[in-house]
Amino acid sequence: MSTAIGIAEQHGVYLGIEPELANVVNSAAKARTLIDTLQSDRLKIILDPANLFEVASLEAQRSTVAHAIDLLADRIIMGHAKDRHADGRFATAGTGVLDYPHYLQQLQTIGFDGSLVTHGLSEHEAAGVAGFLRQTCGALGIALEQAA
Amino acid sequence: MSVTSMRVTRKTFAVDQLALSYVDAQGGGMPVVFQHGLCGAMEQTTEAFPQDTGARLLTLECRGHGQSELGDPQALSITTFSADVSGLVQHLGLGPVVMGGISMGAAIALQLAVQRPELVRALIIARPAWSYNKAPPNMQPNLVVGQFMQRLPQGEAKQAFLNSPTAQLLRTTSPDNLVSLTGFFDREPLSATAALLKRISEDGPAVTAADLSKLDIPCLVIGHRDDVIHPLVLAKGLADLIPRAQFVEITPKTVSKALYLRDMHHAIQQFLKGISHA
Repeated sequence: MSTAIGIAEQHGVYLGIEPELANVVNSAAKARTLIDTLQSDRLKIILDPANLFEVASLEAQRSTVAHAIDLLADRIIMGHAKDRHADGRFATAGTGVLDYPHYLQQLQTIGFDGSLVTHGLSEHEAAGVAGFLRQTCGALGIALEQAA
Repeated sequence: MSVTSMRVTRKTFAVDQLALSYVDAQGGGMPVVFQHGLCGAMEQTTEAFPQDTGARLLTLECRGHGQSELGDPQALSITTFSADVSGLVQHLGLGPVVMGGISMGAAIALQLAVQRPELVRALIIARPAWSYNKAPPNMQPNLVVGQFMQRLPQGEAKQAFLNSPTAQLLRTTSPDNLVSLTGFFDREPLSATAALLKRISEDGPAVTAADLSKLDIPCLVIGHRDDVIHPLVLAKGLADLIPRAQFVEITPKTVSKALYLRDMHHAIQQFLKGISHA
């Protein structure tokens, strides 16, 4: 990681770490430890809440997401938007069990103003997901800027 | 029920050139070492422990807690605290004793029961936050509080935490946890509290499920609802795993502090009575 940070510094780019159950950095707490250990402003976080739980009760899911946002608040540079089915399989944003109003509200609470990027979906689903995210943000009073 | 009505003597015990404070209460009966939770102190155990049991209550204030010195923050761990507690038991020439505690104190007791069985004759596991795993997810609110202390100046950290997603959730799911966590911001120095919260939340009792399933001593496990840091399901799981354990569910602190203490006192009192007659 130190080598990668050296290269990132040289080129003025950020390294986006995405905590995910299947990665070495498999939790928000591990991502925090990485940040605290390396002490580099080049390290940023891409937060995808669907990566932080597989099968979880609504209460456990909300806790996981809230703790992750609080632990990493000063480093989150991008939010990802996908989802999980109740059986743990990944799903297209808005079609699964992820509590989107909770996730987006909490991002707003910490003053997040970065990009929200959806992925892991088919091309024909894109317009529907964009509509879902716009509508959910709108209902929460979150202002969106359209990507160029 | 109050601290002032209990006869308490405070003494000091030196380990690794650190002055650790402990209390010795209620006279000369059966020794019970009963440990406080993370960022707690002797006030917590003297309140939770029943009076008039004839037992001798001992609580070591762990490094960085109560009146005990902090020492090297890198040394803060459940294993260090457990070694300090076993050191005190040996220093006093006691043992085997009834070993127990609340939350982190319960994790210390579990480790000592497994690793120092010659010192432990029975266990009291009150509101456990750990079974045998390191860094259990239920400890994450403590990690979050430590993170706020580390990231923000002292004057801003508490208010920022109270506005955080974690605090917003706890306000509805587990308000008593929120009260405890908010109180941590008033401990001095904040850097010591931040180190404790980070290191202990990511630590564990260093025992396995197999270790616990082989314990052959009487054990009382106490739990209650409405407490996300000390989940009832975790307490019940421990009671299922430890062969001679009995489980007692008590009134949550959020429902009534007085009933919580009454139930806690009653459960411990009955358990000690059973042991002393055994």
